[in-house]
Amino acid sequence: MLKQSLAVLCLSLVPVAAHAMPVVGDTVGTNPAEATAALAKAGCTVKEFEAEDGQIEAKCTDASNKLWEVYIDPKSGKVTNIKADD
Amino acid sequence: MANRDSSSQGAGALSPPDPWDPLVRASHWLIAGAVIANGLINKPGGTIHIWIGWAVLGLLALRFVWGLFGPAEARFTAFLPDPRAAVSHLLALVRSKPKEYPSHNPAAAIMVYALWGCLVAVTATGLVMTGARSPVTIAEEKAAVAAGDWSVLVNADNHDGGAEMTGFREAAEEVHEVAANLMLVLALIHVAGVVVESRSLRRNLIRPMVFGRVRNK
Repeated sequence: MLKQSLAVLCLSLVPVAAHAMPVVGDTVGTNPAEATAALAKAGCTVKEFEAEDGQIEAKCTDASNKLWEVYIDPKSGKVTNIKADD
Repeated sequence: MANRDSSSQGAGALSPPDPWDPLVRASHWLIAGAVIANGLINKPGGTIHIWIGWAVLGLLALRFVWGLFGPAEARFTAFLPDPRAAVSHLLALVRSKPKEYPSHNPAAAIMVYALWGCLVAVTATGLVMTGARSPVTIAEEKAAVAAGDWSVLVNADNHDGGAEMTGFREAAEEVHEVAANLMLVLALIHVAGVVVESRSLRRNLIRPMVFGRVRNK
């Protein structure tokens, strides 16, 4: 019974997990407006953008209000790295 | 009490100088303040953090030059690392019979080099993480991005190193954090060591690093 409900729970969470966040390689844009929209679509609400080490660091929160740092190459508009803010 | 009196005889005496020379004192406290500010207070990667890091680089360079050309007790030759002597000094301290030395005692000397090693590691990796761009440039970039303008970073011609460079920077970041934390732990041990040594020698070792000798004593 427990096994079954766990399986159901896992299965039901898979699509959410798969679409909840942007991934490395996604193109989100080369300006704040585009990137905010693209990241929101990917499930992360942008709080602010910062310059860090020549890249754009977007601080955004996911559906469970967890804070993420999404690094964007300002030239290509691509996501280069994603880190959980700890 | 001959030892205690000898402290007022300056360099060449049996005990460390009282006071330490101005450059040693100033660099000591400025670096101590920088470590506290960058390690515990300000925002990592922020403009202030980077300014302080560059200031530490300058202070370290100055101190290292002083280690070659400064007064006798400030020179590296006055406190070369000697692990065996350090251990025997610590053992003497446990038996509360430490000897006096004209500069740092052998255990303190090891601590000095360990702290310098950490400072070099932290500042060098900090430079790698920021691409060695000046704090002025970084402040301008941050201001522009905060105002919604990303073009400054595109024109800045950096981060074209690809995945390899990203890996290198991430490794630098790891070393930066580990060395910084190690340095904070070492600083605590250093402070504890000064307290223990002061009690054991029945002499305030902090004062010569602050004001120097009280003349009418």
